[in-house]
Formats: sequence, C-alpha cells, structure tokens
Amino acid sequence: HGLRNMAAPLRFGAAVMQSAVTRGLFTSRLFSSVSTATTPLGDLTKQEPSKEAPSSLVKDESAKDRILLEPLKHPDFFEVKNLFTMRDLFNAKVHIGHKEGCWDRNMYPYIFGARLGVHIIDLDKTVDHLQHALNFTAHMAYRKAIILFISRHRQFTHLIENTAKDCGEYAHTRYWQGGMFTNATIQYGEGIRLPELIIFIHTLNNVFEPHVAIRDAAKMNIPTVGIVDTSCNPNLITYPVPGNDDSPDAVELYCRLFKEAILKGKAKREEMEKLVAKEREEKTKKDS
Amino acid sequence: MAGSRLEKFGTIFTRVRDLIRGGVIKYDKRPLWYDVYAAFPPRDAPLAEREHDIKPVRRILYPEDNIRAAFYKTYATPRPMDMTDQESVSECQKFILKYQQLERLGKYQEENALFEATAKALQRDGIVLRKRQPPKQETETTVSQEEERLEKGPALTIKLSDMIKEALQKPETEKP
Repeated sequence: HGLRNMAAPLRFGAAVMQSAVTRGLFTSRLFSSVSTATTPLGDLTKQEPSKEAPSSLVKDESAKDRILLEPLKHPDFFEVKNLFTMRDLFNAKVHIGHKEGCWDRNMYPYIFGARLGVHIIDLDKTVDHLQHALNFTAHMAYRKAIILFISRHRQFTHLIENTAKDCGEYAHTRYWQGGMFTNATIQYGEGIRLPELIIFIHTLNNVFEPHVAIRDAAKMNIPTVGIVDTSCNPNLITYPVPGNDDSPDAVELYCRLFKEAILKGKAKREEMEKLVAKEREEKTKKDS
Repeated sequence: MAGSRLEKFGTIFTRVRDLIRGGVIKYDKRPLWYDVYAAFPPRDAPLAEREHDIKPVRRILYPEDNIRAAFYKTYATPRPMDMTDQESVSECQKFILKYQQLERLGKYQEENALFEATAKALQRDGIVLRKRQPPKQETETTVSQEEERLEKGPALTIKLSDMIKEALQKPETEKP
C-alpha cells in the first residue's frame, strides 16, 4: 500500500493527537500513528530497537514469541478471578435490570427472571462473562494494545475519563462523530493506528439507541467488551457482560475491575520482559 | 491493510481467519487480538443476527410474598427504609420471621388468627405497627366538600350568572 514507507515506525504512545478532534474533547487522547487499522504483530518487534547484532536476531525473535505466547497457555494467567466475587456484584446491584416492558429480546439468555415487573439478571452468567472479559482485557494490555473506554452516560463521564487516565489508556465519552473509525484515514491522516480493544461501560447513547461505535468496531474488526443491561443488544459485542449499567455502585465496580485488569496486564508484561532479558544475559555469559 | 467491513456476516474472528486463509492478510501481519481470541473465545460467537427460543420469563415469587402482601395492605410502609445499611432488618422481614415461627408451633389454623397473633407478638417485642386508614370513597368526598364550602361563607358560593340575573330583574321592577 506504500503506507509503511511513509512514516518511520514511531514508538508506542509517543505522538498522541491532542488536538480537538471531536467536539468538546480535552481529556480524550485518541490515536497515535504507526500504521493503518489493526497493528500487525510483526511491527511490534520493530518498535523496540534491538540492542544486539543481527546475528542474534533469531534469539530475539524466539524471546519475543515466548513473551507473547507464554500467557496464552494458562487459563487464568493474570488471576482475574480474584478481583471480584458474586457477593460484590450483588451488593453493587449488578443483578437489577430494567422494567419488563423495555427489554431487548436478545438479552433473553442472560435474564434470570422478573421480580414484580423488574428483570433480574442471572449473576452466574455475569460472573462467567465478566471473568472472560477481564481476562481478555488483561491479555490485550499485556500485548500493549490501545484500549478505548466508551460511554455516553453523562453521569459517569468524569469517572470513566479518570479511570482511563489512571491505567494509562484512552477514553471517549463525548459526541461520536460519524466516521471516526470508518473514515479515519481521511479525518486523521494516513498513518493512523486505531484502538485494538474497546470497552463499553454503557452500550446505549443519549437517545437509548445502540452506540454507533459498536457497529463500527465490528466493521473495522476491533474486538469489544461491553456491559449490557436488559435494554441493550449484546449481539455485536465480542465479550458482553450482562449487568446493570445505571447504578453508580455498579459502574464504579466495573471501572475499578477494568482498571485493575489493565494494570495487572501491564505489570506482568514488564515482569516477563525483565525475566527474558535476564535469561538472555545468562545465556550470552555461558556462551562467552 | 485489508479488512472486511461486513459486520452482518460472521464474527470478526471468522472474517479475519478467512482472510488469512485466502492469503489477503499474511499470518505474520495478523491483528493483535487474533491469538488471544483463538485461545479464549467468547461463550457465544458475536453474530449480528441470533435466534432465541424465547419462553415466558419466569416470575420470581417466594412463599413469604403472601405474608408480605397482607402486611403491606394492613400497615403500609411503617417508616422509610435505609437502603445503605446492609445489616438492618425491615419491619416486614421481622413480621415474616415471627409469622413463620408461630406457624411452626401449630397453635393457629386460620390465617387471620395467625396474622393477629404475629402483630401481638411483635407488640410484646417492642415493635408497634399502626394500621393504615382505608382510602375514602369518591361520592362521599364531593358531597362533604360542597357542604364545607357553604358552611365557610356564602361569599364562596356566588356565581356570575346569578349576579347578572339579579341585575336584569332590578330595572324591570324599578321602571314604572
């Protein structure tokens, strides 16, 4: 495509577009530029300059492979199950859905029953789905993905932006312009890197319709994690988490859990890199 | 970088996997999430259109709900509940526990007798419950309201049509 010839591969997180890309943004730092659409795995290796001579590149490759493949062998590498219990979900009112009349039929498998006209979400399923979602988030953070938090619920704008700041990732809680993903190369220039994971704390926008970014992420092959209430459509979301999205207790719980998962992922990455660097040093000492 | 924007067909994984199979995306240039998705796929594939065998959602009801219904009909909500206190037990819950205790003793056969006995037992424990007043019927209120108005003073019952009638009648009588 000739796009890779254009810009020299920039270091991860360096050039971040702070400009007022979308109306009313000041804390939403969107995209840094490396290459278009999804980041190929090959480019990740180019990002960190190798200090060794080309002859030991083979060793370097296998080290990188080991870093990336090691966590996938364990069912719960980041111990995400220890982050919460079902009792925590109950106390945060995660099981409370909307009234019977305004449900989305696609939420049927996740609903336990109706108590006096209010749908109750099955917490067994929520626990399972939430563990899955947190595990995926941690793995993506481990792989240095750009993670974008999206929510259009104005009550929690500040909370979500702070959550994103605290874990060093990105948030978009303002008006969503039409072609942010689908028209990215024209709106933001050629060498644009889109987020590799999107976390929807609220799936609906201000007029109770599905957020445009859900469909756009599916179009651009970006995996999504989302909290789906009984009035939401969970179909296009890769890792849906059925739960209440209106109570402040519940939303604070979700923000805390995702932040902790991301920080765990990043911490493990640093650990693994140090470990592998040590092993490489020991090997070179043995060889020499 | 190639991609497939057909979100209505298959999942992101199937589309990318098939593009790799077809040689459009090279395996080395596969997206970051591909391996993670392959290792930990979601419980249900995120297809845009899904069919559900929808049966009626079950209603969550407990045996104590009968007691609750009777309690709230007689007493209404005694005082506002503090939702932040997880340990507190509401008056209704205490009523239910006492009711079930007395039921197990087996002294009372009729539900009404059991209900009254529970109320008395709670009184002995120190929880006083006031019966709520039955709502007034509509016809009674309208009649009583009119009577009240007449009592307060004739000024409240003046009508403009009556005043005009009086004014018209006066000149007729005064004209010789």
